[in-house]
This record gives sequence, C-alpha cells and structure tokens, in this order.
Amino acid sequence: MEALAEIKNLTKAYGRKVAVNDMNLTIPRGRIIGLLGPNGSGKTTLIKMMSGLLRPTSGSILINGCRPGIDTKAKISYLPERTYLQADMKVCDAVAIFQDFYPDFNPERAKAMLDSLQVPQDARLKTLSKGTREKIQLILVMSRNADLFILDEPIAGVDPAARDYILNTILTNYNGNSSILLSTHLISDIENILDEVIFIREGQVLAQMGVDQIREEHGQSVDSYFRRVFAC
Amino acid sequence: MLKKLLKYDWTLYWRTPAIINIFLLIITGVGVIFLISPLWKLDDQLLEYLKVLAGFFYVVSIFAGSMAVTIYIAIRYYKNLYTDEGYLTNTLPVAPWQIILSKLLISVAWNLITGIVVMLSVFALFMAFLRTFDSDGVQEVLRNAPEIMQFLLDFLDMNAFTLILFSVVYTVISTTFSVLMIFSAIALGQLFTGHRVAGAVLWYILQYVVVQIASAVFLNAPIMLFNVAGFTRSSGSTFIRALWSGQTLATILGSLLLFFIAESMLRRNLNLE
Amino acid sequence: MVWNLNADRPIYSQLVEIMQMRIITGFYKPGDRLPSVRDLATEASVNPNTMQKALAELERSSLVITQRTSGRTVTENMELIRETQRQLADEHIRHFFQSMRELGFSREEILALIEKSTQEEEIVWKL
Repeated sequence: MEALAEIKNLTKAYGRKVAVNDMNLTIPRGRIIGLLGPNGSGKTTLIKMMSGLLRPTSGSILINGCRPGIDTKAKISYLPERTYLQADMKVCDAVAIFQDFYPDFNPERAKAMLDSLQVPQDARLKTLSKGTREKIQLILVMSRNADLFILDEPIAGVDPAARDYILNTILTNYNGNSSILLSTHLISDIENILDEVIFIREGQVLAQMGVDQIREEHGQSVDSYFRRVFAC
Repeated sequence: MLKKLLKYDWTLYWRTPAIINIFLLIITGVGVIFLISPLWKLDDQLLEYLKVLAGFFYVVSIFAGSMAVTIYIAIRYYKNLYTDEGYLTNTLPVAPWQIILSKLLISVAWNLITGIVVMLSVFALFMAFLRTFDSDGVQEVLRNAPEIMQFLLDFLDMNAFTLILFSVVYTVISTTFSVLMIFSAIALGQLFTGHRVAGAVLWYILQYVVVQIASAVFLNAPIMLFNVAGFTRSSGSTFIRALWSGQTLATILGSLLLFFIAESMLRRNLNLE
Repeated sequence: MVWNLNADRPIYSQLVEIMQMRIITGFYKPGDRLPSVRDLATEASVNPNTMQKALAELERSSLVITQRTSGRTVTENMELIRETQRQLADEHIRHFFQSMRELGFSREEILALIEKSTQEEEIVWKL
C-alpha cells in the first residue's frame, strides 16, 4: 500500500528565514507518530503546510496522492495549537459545523464524550474554561474517522490530569487504519503511545525511527535519546 | 456545501447587524413621534437648540449605523478567514470560491437590508416633517408623484416595471461591488506580512481612488463626445440608457475581477500566521 | 496489577512480561477471554499497535489462543502456564545471582545468606 503522506524537497521560507528546509518525509498508514523537535524547529510550519494553511515556497506534499486541497482537507483532522471555535458559539453549534462539513464525523461519539465531560450542549463556549474549550476541540477532532489526524502540541501547558484525559481520548478514538501525527516537545509524557518518532531540527528531518527500536538499540528512552541527540 | 456555508455564516453573524437595524428603526420611530407631536409648535429658545441637536443626532446615527454594518462585515470577513477562526474555516473541505461567495451573499443581503431601513427612515421622517410644517405640501407631493414619475419614464423611454427592475438590479450589483472592494482589499492586505490590517486599509484606499478615476473618465468621456447639436429627446434617452447599461456592465466586470482577486489570494497565497 | 513501564527497555517486551504475570497469578484465569487490544492499550496508556505486537508474541508461545468466534482467550494448558512460571523464576534467579556477584559475594556466601533470610522469614511467619 502507498504511503499516507509523501513529502519531497519541501521548503518554506519567510523572507530570508527558512523554517522548513528541503525536507523529505514519508508518513506510513496505521501509525501513531511523534513529531519531535525544539521550539522553532519547523514542526508547526510543516503541519500548517500539510493542512493547507500555508503555501510551500517549493517542493511537494502528497496526501493520499493528492496535493493539499479540498480532497485532503476531507481526510485530515487537524487540531491546531490555538482555539479556532468562536467564543460566542454554543457547544451544539460547534458540533453542527463538524457534522455538516465533515462526512466522516461521528456525532454519537462526540456526544458520548461531551456527556462524559459533563458539558451542556447549549453552553456558550465563552462561559467555559480554557481547558474545557480545548478538550471540546479535541473531542470534535477525534470524532472524525479521518485518514490522518494532525495534532499540534495537544499536551503543551496542561496539568497531568488533563494530559491523561487528552492521551486517553486520542487512544480510545484511534483505529488502526488511520495515522496520527502528533507534534510535541514533551516526549517523556507521550512516548508510550507512539509507534515511531520523527526528529526535526532547523527545518530538516534528523531521524525517523521506531520507539522500541531506539530503546532496543540504545538502551534508553526516546526522551533521553532525544536530549542526547539535540545536546550536540 | 454552499448552502451549509450560508447557514453557518447567517446563523453566526445575524445578531449584530440586526441590532444595528433595530436601533435605526427605533430612532426613526422616536423621530416621527417627535416631529408630529405638538411640541414643535411651541416657540421656545431651549426647544430650538433641542431641535438642532435632535436633527444632528439623527443624521449621525443613520450614517454611523450604515457604516457600522459595513465595518462589521469587514471585521467578520477578516477574522473568519485570516485569524484563529481561519484555522477552522480554511481547513473545511470546501472550495475557496464557495467560502467567499457565501460571505458575499450574506454581506450584500445585510447591506441591502440596512439600505432599505435607511431609506424607509428618511422617507418616514420626511413625511412627518411635511405633515407638521406644511400639511398642504404632503398632499401636493402625493398628488404630483405620479406625474413626476411619468415624466421620468417618458424621458427614459421605459415602462415602470423595467425602471424598477433595472434600479433593483443596479443597486444589487453596485452593493456587491462595494462589498467585494472590502474583501479583495483584505485579501491583498495579506501580502504585507506583519502589517496585514494596515495593508488592507491601504489597498482599499488605492482601489477606491482607482475606481473614482475610472468612473470619472468613463462617465465624462461619453458626455464630452455627445453630440449636443444633434440633441433630440430620443437621442437623449438612448444616451442615458446606454450610459446606465454601460456602468452596470462595468460594475459587473469589476466585481468579477475583485472576486477573482479575493478567491485566488485565498486559494494560492494563504499564509496564516 | 498496574502497568508500570520502564523508560529504558522496549515497551513491547515489558507488556509481554506484565501479561505473562497476569496469567500466572490468575488475574486472567485459564480459558478467560482477554479484553480487546484497544481496551488493553487504553488501560496501559500505550499504543494499540505495540499492545497488538505483545499479544502476538503471547500467541506465538501459545499462552494466548486466538479463536475465530470468541476473540483471544488464555490457554487452558496448565502445564504451559507452569512452564512459563518456571521460566520467569529462572530469570529472576539469574538476575539475583548476577546482582549478588556484582556486590562481591561468592556462590557459597549467597546460598548461606538465602538460608539465613529464609529462617528469619519463618520466624516472622510464626510470630
């Protein structure tokens, strides 16, 4: 089977600053993949190009064999690191938008998760806490049966209980046919749920390998391996 | 998908323009009651000041109200496409032209509704004014209205239905054009990384100047070339009609161009920060 | 039995060990149906693919049997369970001896120490 995403010679420059530099990457199907790298290494830039929010300066991105566009947007479920739902929207309005626009959205799944979060359907988002709003966004994103889930820093700046909730939500909704690309700089928190990791530095892929492969070959966690690699 | 976008844009954005229009209607109602009340007949210095103040307040409200609707449309468009909300809008599996068309239709609808409300308001106040200060005048105006209308129709060599239809079509088209001026300016403003709002304002002013110059040339050139010596009533009506049709056509073409600018900027040049 | 996973060893082999322990201790009884891969993965907060791999390893050693109708069940072969138990015991003993040698004890000293501590344990038990 062909790869889920194929990235070739991808470059994104902002003026003289090069955020993604001639990057080559293959994202396989049926994997949970960590996109790891320090802040400013180009993780978000790469993700935004895959989601169709940024235009590459050069190079190509193919997802299911298509360039980013309507077809790929229907197949990618993207969680950005900011809240994109309007504050004066009700919870049910947000659910309705997802239900209307994404044919792969599963409203029962979303409803069950919102119920267990004890969020009333007619609550306005602005009356809810920031943490709850972020969880609602995650619930909506994870209630789709997408081919590729792209989650940008889903656990940055949350407390341990919220982190467990988020990871649990990701795991329970993951089905083996899709892939999850999860960017983070907090590796130790998530390495148990990853199949493989992609290390990014200065806009280039440093390595792409399996989590157990790292542990077997180097006898250390991905986190400490990562620290060692990036220390130099 | 366009239908869903329309539903989404309408349900999320109807509140503010509706409140503005209700506010305008309330002001009109207060104005009418004020004008037909016997208060005006009193001769008092303080009341004189009050009249001037009330009139001033009314004019400012009408201007501010219609401006507010336009500004609201611009802000919504900018926020929904180019700020945090854009992360959702631009990852929906819909074509950019559908996103823009949906917002265009809603915006044109609100501009037209506001325009109608303003016209009704001015008309109502005008009638109330005539009734209070010149009761005969109201009768006079109403009596003469069909005659004036007939004169206009004769001059244009049109029947009433055609004139109304043409006026409506022209109003819709020029409203569309003015909304697209905003949309395309916001789209082009995205080229100014770091100063995107300022860029949008700059583009708007630039487009405005270009449109003014173009329409001045477009309107004046034919008038200069018009054969005054050979003026007849029929050549006059033909000329006016041609000019009007030409202007309509130019506005349509201009709208298409602006739509294309806004669309291709969203499709090919989107760079969300 | 909680899923305590070390950071420095492959996750999948740790999952295999924990599942073996659960079967030996009777947490999962012979013939029991195992939870689904997804549920086990969620419970352990690990990747379902890794849990799948661990279960496949258990299937290879026949400790877990996949049936078309009833999913995965624990083997009813008691001999096999005891055999696994012995293997794990051997491993623990080997580790123990290795650590003790690193501490500088000879074989005789180690055995003497074991003798002594088992007697102490018996006293504790009697009390």
